[in-house]
Amino acid sequence: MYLETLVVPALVLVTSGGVWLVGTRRLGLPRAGLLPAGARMLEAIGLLMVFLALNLGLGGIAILAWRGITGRFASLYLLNDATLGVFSLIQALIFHWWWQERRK
Amino acid sequence: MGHGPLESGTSAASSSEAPRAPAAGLRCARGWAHHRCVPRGPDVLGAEGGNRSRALRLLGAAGLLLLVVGGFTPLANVLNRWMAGPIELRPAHAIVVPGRGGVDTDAVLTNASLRRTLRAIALQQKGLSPLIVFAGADAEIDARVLLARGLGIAAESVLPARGANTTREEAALLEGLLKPRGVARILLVADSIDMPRTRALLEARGFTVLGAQTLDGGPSEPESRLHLLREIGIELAAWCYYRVRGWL
Repeated sequence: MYLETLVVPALVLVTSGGVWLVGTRRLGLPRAGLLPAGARMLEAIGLLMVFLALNLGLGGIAILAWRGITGRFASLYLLNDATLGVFSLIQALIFHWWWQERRK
Repeated sequence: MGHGPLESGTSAASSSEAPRAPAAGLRCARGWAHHRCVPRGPDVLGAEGGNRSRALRLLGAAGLLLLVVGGFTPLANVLNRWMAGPIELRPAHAIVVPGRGGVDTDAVLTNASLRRTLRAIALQQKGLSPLIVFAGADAEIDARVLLARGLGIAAESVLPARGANTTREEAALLEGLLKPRGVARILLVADSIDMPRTRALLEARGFTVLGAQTLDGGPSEPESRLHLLREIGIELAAWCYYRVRGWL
């Protein structure tokens, strides 16, 4: 592994450690609350993957249907766009918070 | 709710994370973060939300693992090399360059398309084949032909293969163009990621395919590795789709 690839993870570790200190010592956040927070984060990522799969699946079906119905070509590579991931993340976060409200 | 205030009488954990009964009457005011007010046990363990939550967390953990392994290990590079197969730079009847990415708005070839084109020109100039076949969209082919001509490739050594939109259509088009010319062995110049499907389609049409992929060591930065991993995922999906349709 190139040493340069460790720069970003190291940076994240340092800021995470800093936030841990600020959170526990200055803001009085419960330390044991970190575990459920991590679990919520995993749920959000899981939802992101679900929404991404839904968007890709629906997009693929729509493009294939378009080809079949119109006889005109549309590339499946249209779906190879990073913005789809960003929008899926937004969908996942909104749904997650919505879901959280019901669980309260 | 796990992150809400605890009611008196519920179990709590101390700041050292050991379960501990709260003092009688201990109650956290709403919005007040007391260091002993922690989420209830069942929520910490992920029971709240039931199986759906647990499944989502597992899925999320898998996604996170993929992010870390894909970005910070050479997994994508290894997969890419494995999928591409060996490089066989031997004389062939034609050098075939499938389309890839087309041209940008200024009519200049995209990075991937340019790499393929330059590699094909270099192989032709080494004398590995008298003929270069450029496929792709019209604008891409035009830019490739222009570049090849500008780099000294004779007009009769360049054959445009126009009219195909997909890899499968390209294979059919190449069969129609090259078989009448007696071309049986081809040097296939494509990105490593595109080699398996293109090679399989051309071999299915009776060509002997020699790999001349634009192989390098692969990216070393996490972002580029993740991009490559995404490309691998797309190619695997396309492979599965072709298999289901019976094209491979």
